[in-house]
Amino acid sequence: MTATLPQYFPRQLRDMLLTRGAAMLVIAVVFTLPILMVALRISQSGAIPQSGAAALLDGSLRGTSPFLVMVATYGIIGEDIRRGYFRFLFAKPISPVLYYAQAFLAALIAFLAAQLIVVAVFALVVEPAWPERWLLERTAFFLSFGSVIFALSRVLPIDWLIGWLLFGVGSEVRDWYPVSESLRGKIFNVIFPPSHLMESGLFPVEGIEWGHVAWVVGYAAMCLAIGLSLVRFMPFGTQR
Amino acid sequence: MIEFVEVSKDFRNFLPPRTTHALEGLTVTIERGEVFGIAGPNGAGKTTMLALALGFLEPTRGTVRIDGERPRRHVEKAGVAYVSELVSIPNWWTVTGALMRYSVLAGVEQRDRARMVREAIERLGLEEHRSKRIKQLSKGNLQRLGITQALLSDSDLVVFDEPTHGLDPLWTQRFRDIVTDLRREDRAIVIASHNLDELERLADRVAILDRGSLSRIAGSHHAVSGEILRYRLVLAGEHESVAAMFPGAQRIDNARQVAYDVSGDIEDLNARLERFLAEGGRVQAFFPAQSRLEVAFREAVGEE
Repeated sequence: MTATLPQYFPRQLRDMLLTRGAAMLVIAVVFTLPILMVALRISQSGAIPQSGAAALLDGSLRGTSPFLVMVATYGIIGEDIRRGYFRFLFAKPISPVLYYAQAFLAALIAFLAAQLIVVAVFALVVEPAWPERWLLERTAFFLSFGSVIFALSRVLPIDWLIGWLLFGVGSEVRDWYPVSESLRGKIFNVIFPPSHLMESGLFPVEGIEWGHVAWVVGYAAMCLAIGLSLVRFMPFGTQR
Repeated sequence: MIEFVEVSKDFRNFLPPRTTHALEGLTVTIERGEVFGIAGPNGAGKTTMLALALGFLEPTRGTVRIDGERPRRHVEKAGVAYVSELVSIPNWWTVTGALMRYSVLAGVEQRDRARMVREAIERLGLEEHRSKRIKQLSKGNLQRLGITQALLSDSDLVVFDEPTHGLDPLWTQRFRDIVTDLRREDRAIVIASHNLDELERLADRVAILDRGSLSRIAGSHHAVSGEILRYRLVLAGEHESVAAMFPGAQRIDNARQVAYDVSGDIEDLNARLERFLAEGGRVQAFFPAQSRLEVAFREAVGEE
């Protein structure tokens, strides 16, 4: 019966775009606007070199990413439980684990769609630009940050805030406790999200560190597995 | 079909530390082919019992099985036609949109979906609301939508939690017809309700819960020989032989008709009624003055 879930995916995606699309659009526009203004000012005094335009756009995409991920993933599991939607959904012959795995995929697509809008607006207002491997970079960022919020969403109502703190604090903690100096540093390095790997980009044009890629993908997979295990083993019901 | 064996459910609160015993040592089996009612005062554990049956909760002690399987496993495999007490559906969905979504999840074949949704909408009288958003529906219409989505699947387990809550008398009556239509040899129907009259009309057996424990299971609502019950006898006019014919009959003073409460075994009362009619007495109505379930309920929860 779970075979029906893939047929439900277009509706999940539609719900994601309808409920969160407007907020994502506003964020994309608001955060891109200053960079667009800078780009326009530069372009008025002469053509922007392609590499410069791509760098500006890349900065814009990076700047909007954390906010877009938060909007796409906050309460992705918890809202259904808090609002009681789970009762009708999971009385049906479907697997809640697969349902939320699909919901995460829908969030990723919505996130990338919002990023694509930024790219399109930039192309219309300034000039077409295509930062190298931006799709891979943004997908990796979504996985590394979104998976943390996803896992937290099953247990915490303010998943986005805790996720943000974990992601942000991770870099600071790594500075305070370097990996090479102490066991504590090694433990923190593994526990906190790999935000430090995202700062300079995971997929540079030259010399991809596959170990870093594996770390990000592995960390995201672990967070998703934790979130889905919580869905599988934590009862939905509560004392009314 | 559904088996509860020594099931207890505790809810623990950490701040302030407190444990609520929602269910305690519940053992009951619900069979296919029956309509099983669950009655009890507020907080008796009715909804908790249903949540355990659907696998939304895990028992603290004991086991719950549906056809020998853990409830969650069974539900994920076969689905359950379920109407919750609180009908929670995303409020930006339309009525038709919601039903189409639930029909996909219920495993309805694509070619049948539109027809089944249309028929379900007509059956529950939601035609004029089909394009409305959920947030525009009244409580009664929302409840009807909750029932409609449950009817989209052909599950062998149907679970209703306070199904007529918010329904007007007409739809309450129609709901009873729906339950009658749903009755099937291979299907179990479980109804939790505060409404004893509803349970008496619909259920074959009714479990009465009180403070988390099973007080008793009341049987069929049909009167059985040898059972002493109280009935209301309404006459077309005064008749001098009432007192002699029905010893202990109590005149109902505040009634606008000539009415008495009489007690006895139903066979004996029928014989007396026959003699009463033969002596020229005229009966307007004869019905239970107090439902059997109500009597059982009052006894079970310790209320006279």
